[in-house]
Parts: sequence; C-alpha cells; structure tokens
Amino acid sequence: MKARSTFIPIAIILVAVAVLGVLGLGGHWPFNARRRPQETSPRTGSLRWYAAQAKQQGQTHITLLIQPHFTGVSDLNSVTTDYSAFVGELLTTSTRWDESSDSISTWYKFRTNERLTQRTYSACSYCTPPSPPSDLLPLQTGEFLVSLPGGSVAIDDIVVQSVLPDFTEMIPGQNYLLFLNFDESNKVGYLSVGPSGALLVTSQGTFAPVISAREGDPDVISSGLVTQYNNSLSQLRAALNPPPPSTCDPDGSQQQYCTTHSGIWYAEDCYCEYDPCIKKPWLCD
Amino acid sequence: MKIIIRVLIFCFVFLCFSSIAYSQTYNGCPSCLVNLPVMAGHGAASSTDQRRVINVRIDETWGTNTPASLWNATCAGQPGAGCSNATGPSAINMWNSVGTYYFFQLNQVNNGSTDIQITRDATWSPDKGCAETESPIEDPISGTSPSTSLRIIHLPPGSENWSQQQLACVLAHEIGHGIGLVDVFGGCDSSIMNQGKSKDCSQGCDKTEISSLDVQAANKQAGDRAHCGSQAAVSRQNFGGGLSDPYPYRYNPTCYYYYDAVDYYHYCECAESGCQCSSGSYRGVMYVGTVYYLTDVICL
Repeated sequence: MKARSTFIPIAIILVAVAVLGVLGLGGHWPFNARRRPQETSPRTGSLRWYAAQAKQQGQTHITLLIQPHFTGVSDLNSVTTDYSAFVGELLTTSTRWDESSDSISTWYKFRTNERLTQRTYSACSYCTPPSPPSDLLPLQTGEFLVSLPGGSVAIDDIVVQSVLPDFTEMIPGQNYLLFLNFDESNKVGYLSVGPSGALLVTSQGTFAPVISAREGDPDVISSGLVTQYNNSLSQLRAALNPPPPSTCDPDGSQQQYCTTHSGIWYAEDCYCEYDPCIKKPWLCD
Repeated sequence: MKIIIRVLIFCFVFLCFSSIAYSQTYNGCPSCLVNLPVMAGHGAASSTDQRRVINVRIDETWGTNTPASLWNATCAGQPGAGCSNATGPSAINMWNSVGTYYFFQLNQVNNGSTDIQITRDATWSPDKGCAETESPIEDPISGTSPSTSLRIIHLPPGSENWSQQQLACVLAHEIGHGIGLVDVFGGCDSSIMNQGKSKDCSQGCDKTEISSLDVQAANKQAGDRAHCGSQAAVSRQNFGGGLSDPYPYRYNPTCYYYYDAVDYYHYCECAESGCQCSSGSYRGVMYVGTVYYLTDVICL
C-alpha cells in the first residue's frame, strides 16, 4: 500500500517531465514537421525571391526589366519568308505567372481578319510549350493566341511587374499585323523576332510599330515596310499574295491612278478608297 | 617614385581605353537604359585600376560540377582559381579588356554579394528567345529604387553544349544588358548588342570583342543615364480577368469632332422684314438659324 502511494506521485512527475520534454523539443519534435510544414526560402533570383526582397524593404511592388535575346532579323524579306503573317484584331489579354518556368507571360487573344502568308512552324527542341491561360480558352474559329514575356502578377502579396524595354503594349479592339512562328495544332503563335514583329494597323491601312523608335537604330521590320511597301497594308498584301488579274481593270490603269493619288485599291470590286488625309489634312500633321 | 609610376600606368591605361572607346562616334546605338540603377560594386579592382568590382556567379542550377564550356566561356583568361589557366574566349575577359566603369570577376561565394547570376532554366518557353536577362529597375512612374540590384542571366537547357565561343558571345551580350545596354534592332553591326541573324540559338554569335560603341553606351549609362535613349515602358496591370490601367494619362487622346451645319428657313411673305425673295415672286424664305449635328468623332 505504501509502495502504491509513492508510485503515484513518481508516475505523475514522470508524465509531467515527459510532457515538458516533448514541449521543450519544440521544432525538433518530428511530428511538428507534419503539422507545420517547414517553409523553404525561395531560390535566389527567382520571381518569388524578388517579391520577398521587396517585402523585406517594405515595398509593395517590384519592376523587373526582361531582355530576351530574340532571333535576329537581317531584313524584312527574311521575316516575310520565315514567319506567317496575320492581320488580326486583339480581343483580350491575360497575364500569368508560370512557377515551373519562373516566368511571367502575357497572352494575347486575336481574331483573324486575314492571313497573308502561311509558313512552316519551327518547333524549339529544348522548349516546353507553355499552357495558355484557361480564361482565354476555348478558342472559337478564326481565333488564335500569341504569347509574349512580361506583364504584372501578384506573388505573395507583392506586385511583380515584368516589362520589355521600349514595348508600348497592344490595345484590345485594335488590329495588328503579326509575323508569327505559328503552331497550327494549338493555334498559338510566337513573336520569335520579339515585339517588333507586331505592328498596329491604323484605320488608314498603314502600320505603326509597338516598340519605341530609337535614335541611330532603325527597326528593320517597320522601316522595311515603309521603304518596300509604302507602309501600306494593301501593298504588302498584294506583294505577299498577288491577286489574279482583275477582269474590270485588265491593264491596271485604274489601280495605277488610284495608288498614285494616295488611294487604296480594292481589286475585287474595282473600287478606290482615297486617303482621308487628303480630305482632312489636319488629322495627318 | 611609386606614385609617379602609378600615375603613368593609370594614364597609359586611360589613354588606351580612350583611344578604343572613341574610335567610333557614338550616335545612340546601342541604346542605354534610363531607369536601370548603376551597380555599386565592391570597391576598386586594384590600386591602379579604379573600376568597380562586379561579382558574377554561376549558380547551383548547373549542378555540382559546372560545365567546363560555361565556366571557361564566363571567365577564361581572367584572374582567379580555374579562370587564369583556362583558355579561349570569355565574356568577362571581353568586358574587362575595355574601359568601362566595371571590372567583372567570377565569385562563386553565395553570400549575397553576387551582382550578376548565371542560371539555367530547366523549363524554357519558346517566347523567351535564346537567352534572357532580368534586371530590377526603378519604378517607371514613381522612380522608386528597386529593393535589390541582382541581375539574372537565364540560359536555356542544353546551352551547356554550345561552343565556348557561342556561350562567351551570348554571355557578353547578356552582361551588356546587366549594365544597361539594350538590344540593337538594325543599326551598329559591330555592337555586342546586335543580336545576330541566326535563328539557331546554338550558333551565330561570333563576336570576340566589345566594340567602342558598346563602351560609350555603357559609360553613358553609368555616368549620365538620364540622357540614355531607352526607357522601360509601363505595362498595364491585369488581375483577375479584369483590365485596369493604373496610368491612364498615357492614353489621354486628342479628339476631333465633325459636325454637319444645316441651315433652316421658313416660308414667308415678301412683304415681311427679312424675307429673301427672288424678283417677281410674292413668297420667299426667311433664315431661322443653323443647327449643328455631330457626325463623327475621331480620337488619336
């Protein structure tokens, strides 16, 4: 009986020591790892790491300049030969952060207005084709996607803004001429020559680049369009895909008259649309 | 005597660099960046070379044994273990051979002092081209300095199999980005920032030296970047499927309004005051007023 009365306090003390011991182990208690996963610090230089650096400094955003080494361009002819040319209306855009490739891309959804040329898709052997954002899918007939690096996303409550130098963005509702390495199977195109392969098509049927011009460094594509095709969509179209001889203008005299008077010639119905700048020159200052 | 020798060495080096740097007239190509902060570096390269030291590190994504081609293409011919005895072209050697503000060195110690990190991306998207450099810049609107200055050079999987020349040339190009130079579209062929014409990433980069134009652009960026020709544009922010432009002033348009002016008249007796009549008629028309109808608005 006495032995039992001494055993109980000893047992209580042992249990208490055991409990305190367990608590004292704290983070070393192996089951804690299961309850509270150990947070790994992001790899130095990853987008999550940049976000963490901004957060540490009390900032709410960080802007990163990305400068991809795009395929070089010798002249406009090589671009028209190597890449599919589209004219499409930009419908909408979507930006996503792909953690596996640690990159931010903006996807542009276009509706084809016309396809000027069709060239063979050149697949990149070491690349993993990115998955388009689900909010841009499914694609309707005539729609396609274009991916470009850059855009803004929130990573761990920090706005990470990734920008391309001199790129002035593309605006939904506008029409663009695009030189794409186009994957027919997925309806995804890549601007392999960079943003200089996208040009705004104005209401007058002329082109304006989406990159800022730089002193002493002419953009080969936009300057080529000016020198070779008078910066005109109709002239580019005619050169890339020459129409059959017109039945209503067999000798081409009407077309010649139209183009020499700054008009846009529609061969299908022999109609000449004159440049509104002639009527309203103050618009074209 | 020692001081005189140092001054003479400095003058010699300065004159060499000056003659290289200004052998071609800089006309803005390659362009440099306004809003990329200049790297502070880690002191002077030596007592006779005041260029600031910039640490370059090949990171752990290349595995425990860095591929020899990459290592040599980064630092061959430069001081340091594994570099001084390596031969062939290297990006650091190319840049250290010219007179910029910077002296690059390979420093594999990962203690937060890295300025330029070379990383291998296991997953590479086709929209990234052949290589990519990522640099934190000042906020284009507020001008706030970035929280870190670390630049990352991204190379695609398989780039370790490129030739040393190809890697050295590509890395020299990417280091150019790291110190504020931008890609060349069509001008200045001799620039390391001219992207070459090859569609194959594993070949076509054949430059073995940094041109005087690159030196002048780099020094302009480091010394007078406010007058550089390139500024990172502000991209619009997309969140949750909605579209909001945080900087709408960029799109403040000039609008032109077109009206048709229609004059209104009513019939009147010629005897009435103001009634316009032709001779011999007893009825005419009287001007009531002009109404303007908006027919077109064009905003540019």
